[in-house]
This record gives sequence, C-alpha cells and structure tokens, in this order.
Amino acid sequence: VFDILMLVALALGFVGAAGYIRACVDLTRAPAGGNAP
Amino acid sequence: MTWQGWLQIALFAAVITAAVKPLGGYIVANLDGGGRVQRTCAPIERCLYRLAGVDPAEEQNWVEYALALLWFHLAGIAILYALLRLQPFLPLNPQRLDAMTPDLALNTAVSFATNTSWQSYGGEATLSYLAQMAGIVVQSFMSGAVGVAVALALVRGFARRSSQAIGNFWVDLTRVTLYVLLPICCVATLFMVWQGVPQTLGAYVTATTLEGAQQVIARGPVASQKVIAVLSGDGGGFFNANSAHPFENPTALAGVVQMMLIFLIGVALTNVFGRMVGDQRHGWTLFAVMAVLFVAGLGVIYGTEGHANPALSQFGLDQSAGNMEGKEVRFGIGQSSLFATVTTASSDGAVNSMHDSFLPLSGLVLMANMMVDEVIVGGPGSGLFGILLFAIVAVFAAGLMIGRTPEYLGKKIESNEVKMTMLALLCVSAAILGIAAVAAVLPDGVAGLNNAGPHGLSELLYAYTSGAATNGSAFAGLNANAPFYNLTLAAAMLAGRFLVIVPVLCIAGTLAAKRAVPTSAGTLPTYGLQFVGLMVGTIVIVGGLTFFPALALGPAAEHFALQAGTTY
Repeated sequence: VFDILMLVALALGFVGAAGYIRACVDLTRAPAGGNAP
Repeated sequence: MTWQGWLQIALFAAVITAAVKPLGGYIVANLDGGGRVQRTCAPIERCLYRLAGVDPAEEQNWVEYALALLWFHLAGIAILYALLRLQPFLPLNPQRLDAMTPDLALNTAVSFATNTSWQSYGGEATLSYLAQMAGIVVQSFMSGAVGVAVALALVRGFARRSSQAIGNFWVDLTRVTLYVLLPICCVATLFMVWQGVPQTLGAYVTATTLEGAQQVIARGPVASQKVIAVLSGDGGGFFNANSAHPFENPTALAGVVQMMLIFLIGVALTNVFGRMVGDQRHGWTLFAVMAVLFVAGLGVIYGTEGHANPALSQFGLDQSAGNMEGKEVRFGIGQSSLFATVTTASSDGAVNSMHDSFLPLSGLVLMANMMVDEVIVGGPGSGLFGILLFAIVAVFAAGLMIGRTPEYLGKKIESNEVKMTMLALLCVSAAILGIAAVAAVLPDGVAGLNNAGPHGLSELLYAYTSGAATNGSAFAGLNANAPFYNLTLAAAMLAGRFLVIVPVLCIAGTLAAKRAVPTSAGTLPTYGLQFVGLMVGTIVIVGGLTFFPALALGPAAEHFALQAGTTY
C-alpha cells in the first residue's frame, strides 16, 4: 500500500511541479511596476 | 596548524586554479562547439538520439526544457525506488540484503536524483551491488549532468540575443555525460584502483582476527562509484563511513584527488561561462568570488581545529595536534579541515571526518557554506547558476543605489528576472528554516536528536540545510532513519533542487529573448575587484541576514557555552 501511495505522491509531485512552471510563466507575464530609466 | 597542512592546501589551490582554463576550453569545445572528442564520438551520440527518438537540431524554449527535465527525474526517482524495494528479487546481491523500507527507499531515490546523496542508511549493510551500480551510480551521473545542463541553459540565456530557445535538454544531458563525466571517471577510477580502492563483484570476505573472532569485510564495486560520487557533486559513500573508510579513501593522495574531483567541474564552469558570453574576465570574476569565500571559510575552520578543545583540556589530554576528535589520524587536521570545507562549499557531501566533532565555530562555517546556496564552487552546474543568481541580486542592488535599470552582460535585469531570482533564493531558505522549525517542535523530530541544547539544534539544522542545499553530508548525532526524517528530508531535497531549477530556467528564457544593450558610461562594470567585493558582500549579507538567528541559537551559542565549560 505504501508503495502505491509513493507512486501517487510522485505523480502528484510532478503535477505540482508543472503547476509551479505555470505559476512562473504567469509571474513573468504580470505587468512590471516602477519607472526606472 | 602545520607547514605540511598549508603546503597541501596550497598545492590543492594551485592545481584547481591551473585546471580552470584548459578544462573550461575543453567543455565549451565539446558541448557547444564541435570539438575533437565530440566529432570522434558523434556516431555514438547520433545512435543514442535515434534510440531515444530525439532530434538534436530541435531546440527547446524554457518551459519545454523544464518539462523534459522533470519527466526525466520523475522516471529516475521511480526506477531507483523500484530497484531499492525489489533488490532481494534481483541479481548481484551476494549478501542477500533485504529491501529498503518504503520511506527510506523514497528518501534515497529522491536524494540521489536531486544530486544530494543524503544517506539515512549504511551502504555496505543495505544496498546490493545492482542497486549501487544501476541505481545509485546512474543517478550520480544523471543528476550531475542535469546540473551542468541547467547552467549551460542559463549561460545561453545571457549569450543569446532575441532567441526563444535555450538549448535541447536531451542533447545537453547526453553530451555532458559522454564528453565530460565519463572520460574523467574512467581515468580517475583506474587511479583509485591503483591507490587501493576495491573494484569487484565478489561477495564480502570473512576473516578470522588474531583473537579468533570472525569479521566480515565488506567490499564491492567501490572505485567506480566513488569517483562519480565526488565528480558529480553527489558524494554518496559506498560505505557508511564514506571517505573516512580505508577502502574508500586509502591514502592521503587519494584524498587530495577526491577533493580535486569535487571542485574540478564547478570551477571549470566559471571559465565556460566567460567563454560563452565572449569575455573570460567575467568568468574569472566569479571564480575570484568563490575563491574569497572558500579561503575565508577554510581559514576559520583550519584555525579553529588547529587548537585544543577546551572541554578536553580540563582532563589533561595532550591536544598538541589540535582537535583530533572525529578525525582520521591518517589525514590529520590539515586534510580533514580542507576536505570538510571542500565538501560543504561544493554540493558534494562526501566526508573524511565527523563534522559533529568539529568545534562549534567550524560547525557554523560548515553550515554557512551550504546556506549560501551552493555558490562557493557548488555542485557541477548548480554552483554556476547559484552564483549567477547572486550576480543578478548584486547588479539589482547596485542599480537601486544609482537609480538605473540594472544590466548584466548587456542584458537588462528587469522585474521578471528579479522575481525569479528571489523565488529561487527564498525557496531554499524557506525549505531549510521552515522544515527545521517544524522538526524542532514536533515529538517525531525531537526524538531523533542525540544531544540537547544548541548542539541538538545544530544537528537538526545541519540535516535540513544539507538536504535543501543538495549537499548530503551529515553532521552525525541525528537518528535520521525514521519515517518523519526520511519524508521531511525528501521534501527539503525536492524543494531545494526543483524549486530552484525552474526559476533559473525561466530566467534563461526571459534573458535569451532580450536584445543586448550597448555598454555606456553608466554601465556598472561586472568584472574586476569592485564587482568581486559587491558580490561577496551581497552573498554574505543575504546569507547572514537569512540564517544568522538560527546560527546564533545553534553553533554560536554552543561556542560561548563551551568557552564557559558547558557541553551538551
């Protein structure tokens, strides 16, 4: 049972990592503030 | 401190410095430039791509690169986990060793896939030869190659102009393995065998001691594993005692060569960076920053360990050699201090002495080396991209001071790059301090400690620092083979590796897409002594501000308690 849980956790981890990539993409698309030359 | 110790340190530094330029040139030529070795081995490379269905001419944007990397690691973790769980049913297990428990197998699989090599087990009593060779060694190669691949992708981000692509993950992985790791490993393994490191698939030997007792002497394919462990920044030991074991580190010369292998690729990559961005002064600047931090740390540790332990002086023990507790007599204070500094400054984690027995000030430096996010040489690749993150922070801070948009190597450092840099740096700090704080208050966490007070906190803090910084060395004194530690350390290792790599690749992507800005009178010079000072200050201040409270409660408090005669 623990082995199956581990595999599920790994799969969820990958989904989480893909979500993290998506969050990074969204962050870089957010409008920048500030007015430095 | 002895002249032999200083001579050893000077020779080590001279050889490492001399290797930077030639190895950097070799790596650039054979990974990105069609060098002689690459041309010779091109048929093998093409064959591998055909088998894997990879088109080497097709480059990837940063998201594709990151997804390929994640798939690769997911598969690696699953395969290693299966090998560790199924080893009683698989061949090359002459000692008939049992399967790892699920939590330990997960911890070990994550540990080696993330280039950490934290070991909550003793290798000779736990792993079959198949698990060592097809599991641990393969992950050592792959995790080291992935680190270099990510660094190359980031450097391409600085070097390229108006490009969406940062390279091809599969090509980078293949070339680093074929042209950098394998050739060095072949030569160094033969050297280690010559020095006396075993390389056999024969079963352990049973010997009868002079007293008539039976003693089992463990052996195995040690040399091939040891070399890639130190070269790839992995550092996992075949034996529990790691490089303190006479079969894993039989001579002082073998020890020095191991330290050189630990630093070799990391320092050479600074030159790779300089060559790829078209100005080697930038590479030498990063090397100088690493050298300053390394020498400062080594000076404190060698100076501290060269003196007597006040807690032992009261018993009238002869400590004229220095604090020899936990150190091999064969290596003495000099090589033990150098090895400890090298292994924590890099992301390696191999040890030839017990860090738990170092005096508190030395323990503080060992932890600080890891806490600054692998920038003092670091692991192959991870050291370079780590120090480039600090370079971005440094030019950003300088830009704020003078009110200009910061630039680095002709690329404007804007909000996207700064956001990703802070994300990468804060993730490691949050993983270390957050999980360590939870462990310090939960009964399962406290149950693993063998010491109370500041020393106990140091043991716990060191473990999570080592995990999240993907170092893997152990302070000792912590009973880490328990479900709580196995799972939380696995979480720290995953966070310390992948939550950093993804923003780094994102920075590579955003930088590659930018055009170059021409140098003007207002451009901050990002080479030379001024920038070295700026970067050292940035690293020390960021590291100091983040971790000072934790270090004050642990090794710093223990230092003052020891001076007052209190031990824990």
